[in-house]
Amino acid sequence: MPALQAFHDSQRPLASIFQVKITVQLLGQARQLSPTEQVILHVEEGASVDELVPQLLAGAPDSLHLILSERSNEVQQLRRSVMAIRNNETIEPSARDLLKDGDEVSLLPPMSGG
Amino acid sequence: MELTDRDRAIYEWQIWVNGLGDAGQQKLKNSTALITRVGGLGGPLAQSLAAAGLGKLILAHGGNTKHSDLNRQILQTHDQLGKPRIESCRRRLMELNPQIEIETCGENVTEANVRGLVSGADLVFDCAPLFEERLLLNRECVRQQKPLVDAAMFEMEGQLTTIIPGQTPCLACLYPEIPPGWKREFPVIGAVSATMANLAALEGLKLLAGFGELLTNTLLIFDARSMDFRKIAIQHRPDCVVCGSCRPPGIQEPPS
Ligand SMILES: [Zn+2]
Repeated sequence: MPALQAFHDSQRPLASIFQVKITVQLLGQARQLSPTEQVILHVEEGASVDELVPQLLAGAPDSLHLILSERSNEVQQLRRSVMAIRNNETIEPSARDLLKDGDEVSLLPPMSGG
Repeated sequence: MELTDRDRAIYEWQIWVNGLGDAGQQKLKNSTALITRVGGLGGPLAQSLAAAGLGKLILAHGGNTKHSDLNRQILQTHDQLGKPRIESCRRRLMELNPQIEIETCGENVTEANVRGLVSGADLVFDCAPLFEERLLLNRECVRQQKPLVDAAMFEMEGQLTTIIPGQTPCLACLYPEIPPGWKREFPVIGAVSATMANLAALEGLKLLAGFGELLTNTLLIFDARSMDFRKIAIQHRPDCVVCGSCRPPGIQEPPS
C-alpha cells in the first residue's frame, strides 16, 4: 500500500543502531485486502511479531485489521488464526529477540477449499 | 487383491515410475481414500486418483450443481444444473475408470457422519471451503489416527501439508481458531484449485504406494502470480486442543 508505506517512512526516526529492518509480506486473504503485498518496517531490535502489528496496520483498512489483528488486554497483537512465518519457518508471534535485521516475515491467514 | 493383466495394461506407464512399480500399484488398488467436498479442489483430485487406479474412493459432497460451480468443479456438467452434484461426480469418475469402486455420500462432513466416513478410509483428503468442516475432519482424523492431506487455496495462492497424527502438527496446530469474516464465496480460478488438487493427489499416491518424500511437518505454499513454491517448516503446538501432546495414550480409537 503506497500510502501506508509513505506513512511508515514518515514515522521512521533518524537511523538508530537499535533498529532492525523487517519486510512484512501479506499472503492469502490479507494480500487481497491490502493495496500492496509487502511493507518494510523499521522496528526496535528484539521486537516480536505481535509488536510489529500496530505499526504494520497503522492506516490500514478495517477489513485488514479484522483479518490480521486482535486485542489482548487492550494491546493489539497478531490474531491467533494467522500463521507467522519468519523466512522459511513458523515463528511464535509473542516471542521476542528472534527477528533479525533483514528478516522477511510472512503473515498467512487460513485458507480453505476451492 | 493382486494386479491383473488388465491392471498392468492400464497402469503400465505409471508402473514405470521409479519407486511405484508393481508393488506400489497393488497398494493403490487395495487402498481407500475419502475426499470431502468434490468441488474445485476435490473434483480434480478425485479424477487423478481414479485415473491412477486407487481402489476405492469415498466421496462426500452436498448440494445441487449451480452455474457458478462450472468454472472449477470439473466433475460437474451443464446438463447436471439443478441436480445433486454427487451424482455427476460418480458418473464422470465411473466413465473415467469403471474398474474402481466409488461410494458416495450426498452430504458435506457433519458431526453426525464424520466418524463413519473417516473410519472407512486409509487416507483422507480435506477439500472443504468451510473451516468448521475442515477442523471437524481434522479432529476425527487425529482421533482415528488417519493420515490427512490438507489442500487449500485462495485467489492465486495455494497451500498443502500432510498430517500424520502423532508425527506432525494437525490442522488445529496451524489454525487454532476459525478466522473472522470468512466468506463462503471467494476468488478462485479453476486452474489454481486444480494445481493444488493434483499436488495433493501426488502426496496421497506417494503415501499409499510408499515412495518419495511427503510434506510432513512442512507447509507448501504456491504463488501462482510469481510461480514460486515455498516450503515452510511447521511446528506442533503443545497447547493444541485437538492433538494436545499428540501422543497415542491421549488418543483412543473410537468404538466401532
Ligand atoms: Zn494439533
